[in-house]
Amino acid sequence: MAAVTAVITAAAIMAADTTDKRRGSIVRSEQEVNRALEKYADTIQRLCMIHLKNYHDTEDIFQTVFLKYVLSSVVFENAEHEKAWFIRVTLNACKDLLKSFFHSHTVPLEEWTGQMEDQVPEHSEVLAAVLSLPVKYRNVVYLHYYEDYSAAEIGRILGKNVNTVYTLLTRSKKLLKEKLGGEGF
Amino acid sequence: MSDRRLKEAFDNIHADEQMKRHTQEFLARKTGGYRRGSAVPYWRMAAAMACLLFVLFGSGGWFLFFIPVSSISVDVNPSVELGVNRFDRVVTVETYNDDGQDIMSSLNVRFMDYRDALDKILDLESREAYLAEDSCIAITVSGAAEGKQREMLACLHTCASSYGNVHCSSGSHGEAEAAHAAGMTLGRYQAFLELQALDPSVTTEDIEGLTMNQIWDWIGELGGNTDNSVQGGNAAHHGTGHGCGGHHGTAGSDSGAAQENTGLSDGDSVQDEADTENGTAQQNAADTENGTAQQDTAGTENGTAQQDTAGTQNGTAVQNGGGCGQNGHHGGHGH
Repeated sequence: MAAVTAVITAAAIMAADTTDKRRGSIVRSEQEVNRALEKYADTIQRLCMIHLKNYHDTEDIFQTVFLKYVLSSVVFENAEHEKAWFIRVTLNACKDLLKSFFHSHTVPLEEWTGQMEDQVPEHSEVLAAVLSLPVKYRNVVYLHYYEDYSAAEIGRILGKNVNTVYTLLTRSKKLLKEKLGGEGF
Repeated sequence: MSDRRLKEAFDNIHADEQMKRHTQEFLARKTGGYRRGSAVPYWRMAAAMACLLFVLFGSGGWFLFFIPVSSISVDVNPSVELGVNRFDRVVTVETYNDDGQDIMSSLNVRFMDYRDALDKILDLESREAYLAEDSCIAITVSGAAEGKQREMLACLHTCASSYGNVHCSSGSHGEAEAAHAAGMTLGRYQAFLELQALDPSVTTEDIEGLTMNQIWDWIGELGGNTDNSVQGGNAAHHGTGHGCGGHHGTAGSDSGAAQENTGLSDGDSVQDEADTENGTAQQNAADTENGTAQQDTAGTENGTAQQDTAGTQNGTAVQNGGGCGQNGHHGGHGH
């Protein structure tokens, strides 16, 4: 008799528990997700491009990032905050993917060069130069030159010291200059 | 500006529509069409519940099955106590002396029905010569509810009666605990208490090596020598168990008769009747003579007179005494 009572109580507690979780589980509506997808898909794509080499990995990252977005209860203070959040989550997801056992022990069938084939030669040259940089420079190059983040902001997003970011930027600038023989870096 | 070049290059990178569509499809699938439902699938919840139920019922079942609700102590000389759960299965076996240890080491009665277990134990005990045809078996039940206790006693009695004289009794949980504290089974402990009531100098050490037979004999002896009424009292007290009803009956009536005799011989005034009863007319005359002659010596005279009557009585008195001893002994067993 006591056992039965205990079971019923436990079931009731569990039911209450799940309803609470249910309320908290899916935070964003479909509209919100679609808006974010439109807004940040390109950014995520670019970040993936500088870290990953094939289409399916990128797709994995997209799914991971947006699932996190749907389930996360983070309240964004402004658009900047939201964008920084997406960048951070994407980079983490890339890192996780790259260090996963499967990834580090398999070789993809085809190397994905992204949409570089479609690019005009000038652009693909630039992208190739960026991709040829060591991994640690790619993020700062992208965030600084493309997203126009300041060194301080990059430091916050990547969790790095500002001076470190400066150093990375200077070195990557030098490397790019060598590769592109370019003026202005 | 190559700054611009880099920007342009990245600008031309776009997430293609297929990527977005796949992501949307994936999210729709994962969130169940954005229902405000749990991200944890229903079946997983069900599985969790099933596990919980399993654990609860498992532990409940364990509790129901493995916790003894009553105990049966079986004493011949080997003292054994069986813990019985609510499904009449033996779940614990405890031995209280070396003989018990010997018996139980060669016998596994765990999870047996208690009747079968008792049968097995007694069977082995009789083969190992602990149990003779006329030795007594003390079976004591404690812990169960009253109705259940009675039912168990009845069962136990019928199944043990083929092995010898069965002495059944019941005890409370508190008594059982006291018995265990004294390192005895309840059956033995009750016998010990009885013995102690007769002879307060008896200690647990004294009965340590004794068989139940010997203990009952001792009780019988003490009861017979000191005061028969105690024996009667005991018999009545133990009447709750009623192992050997027939024996018990005779014991009662015999001791009753004995009591009558002694009681009457104590009282002077009624002695006449007693004597006439015994059919010693001359003695009677002598008595009354003495009585009238000297009051002082009347007591001693009475004593001798009584002895005399005893002598003349022989036929009845000795028979009575003998019967008392014998039957009292039986009574001791029987109860």
